[in-house]
Amino acid sequence: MNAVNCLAPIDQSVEQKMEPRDDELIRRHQSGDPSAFSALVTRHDRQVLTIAARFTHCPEDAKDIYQEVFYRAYKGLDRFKFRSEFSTWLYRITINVCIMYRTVRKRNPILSFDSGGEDEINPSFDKCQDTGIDILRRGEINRRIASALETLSPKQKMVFILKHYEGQKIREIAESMNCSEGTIKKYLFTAIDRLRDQLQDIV
Amino acid sequence: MRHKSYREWLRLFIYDELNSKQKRLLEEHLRACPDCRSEIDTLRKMHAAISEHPMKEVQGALLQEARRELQSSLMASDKSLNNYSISGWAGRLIYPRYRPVLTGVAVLFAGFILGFGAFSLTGSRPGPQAGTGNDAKQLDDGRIENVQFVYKGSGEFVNAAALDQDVEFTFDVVNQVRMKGKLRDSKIQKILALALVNERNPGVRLQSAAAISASGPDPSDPEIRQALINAMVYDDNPGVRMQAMETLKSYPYEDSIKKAFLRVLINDKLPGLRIQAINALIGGPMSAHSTDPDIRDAFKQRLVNDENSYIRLQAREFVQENSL
Repeated sequence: MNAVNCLAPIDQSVEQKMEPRDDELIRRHQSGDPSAFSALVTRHDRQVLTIAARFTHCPEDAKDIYQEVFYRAYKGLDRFKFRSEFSTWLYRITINVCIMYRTVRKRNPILSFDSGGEDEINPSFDKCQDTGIDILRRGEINRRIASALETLSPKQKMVFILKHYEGQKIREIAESMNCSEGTIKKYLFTAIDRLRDQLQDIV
Repeated sequence: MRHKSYREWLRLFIYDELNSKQKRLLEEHLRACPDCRSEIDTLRKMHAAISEHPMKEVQGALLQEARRELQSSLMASDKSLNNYSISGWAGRLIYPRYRPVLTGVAVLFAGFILGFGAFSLTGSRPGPQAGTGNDAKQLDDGRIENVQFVYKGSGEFVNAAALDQDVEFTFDVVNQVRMKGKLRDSKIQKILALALVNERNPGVRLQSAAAISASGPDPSDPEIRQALINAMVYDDNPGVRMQAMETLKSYPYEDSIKKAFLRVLINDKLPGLRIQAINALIGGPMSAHSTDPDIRDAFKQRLVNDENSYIRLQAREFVQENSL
């Protein structure tokens, strides 16, 4: 008996047509369906890992955060009351775990996600018309950005990531982080000012 | 309107957070204020420079790895899963977080396979085959658990109207094993460690933790150490967490143990356990590492965020003594 074939439950085309909503999956999970949670994970986990990766700049730390987020989600899903969307709830858990998590200082935050080790070329810039000076300059900007972000508190950093990279509105960030909009603005301004100080001489 | 407010609006403008009236007022102000014009120019350049550094999307391999580790983690901690059938030590201890061990048994066993086809499933478990005399004997001696139906293409697995249709399912046969030996026996300790991580009954987990502690485990044994760490950080039962912590306090310094104590200090809901974590970090083998930045940061955080006044006091003393 081949384990892989046995465990492919439904063929892909049928599954896509029958794709249940998040709240239906949650109810199935609460009723004891062991596959429901896995479906929720595969639907939402890329975003969780992306936020964790952007926050930590380190794949190992990002995986740790990912695990913690879904562990908490798994433990809490039985008590989920449907007062918000599952994605919103998961988002909040992700933010809280990121903020609580402390990255290991000895890891180099710039290089961990770069496949080339010392080579910091971002593939999106790897074009034949870029000069060596352009590449070096972008590498320097990358370092300055990461350096500036590391001087921020976890909450300030998270606000900047959610605003700049995730494109969230301040109102949405405030809701996710359970803060007032005024507090979020304060965090954002601090982050912008630090980045401005770091990059002013080279932009 | 005060000039400072316009300065704040500049930052909000860059991120399209102003309404139309605010934008209009800001534009009027910019026409009259060269400082703000210069500032917004700088901010625009900065925004563009950062946007040219789009943080990389997560690669598929990292996501797959994270999913696999999550699967193992939850399999080890999920109390609703049935007992494992033990088929040799080496393949059976599952670390909740860091080193998943996927065997054919574990794969079949998951009422919890993550992602349809998201994992590369390795190996297959030679389960009992239907209809042989030996299997009948095995089924009589053992306990059947974890029946998993195999789905057919239509999404249904049983059509009650078709009595002669094939139905396919897998199950585990669990044979009870009685074991007796000395606490110092490493095999006994490993079984206890397995029980500490996987056993559903908290009383049994507590007994296992106490027995491991009494046995004076070898700190260099990675499996027992990891089982204790996982129990201390993740167990639902505070008594189990406390017992695991008591054992780990006597372990020599090791990075994974330090991290585990820090997680308890930062995350544990019970102040009593957080206090014990503090005691572990400032006394014993950990105390020599008070300058560790992770330890210092955790105490700084507790000084500000902990709801318990005693913990905040302890954190303040640590911060002051270490001249932060």
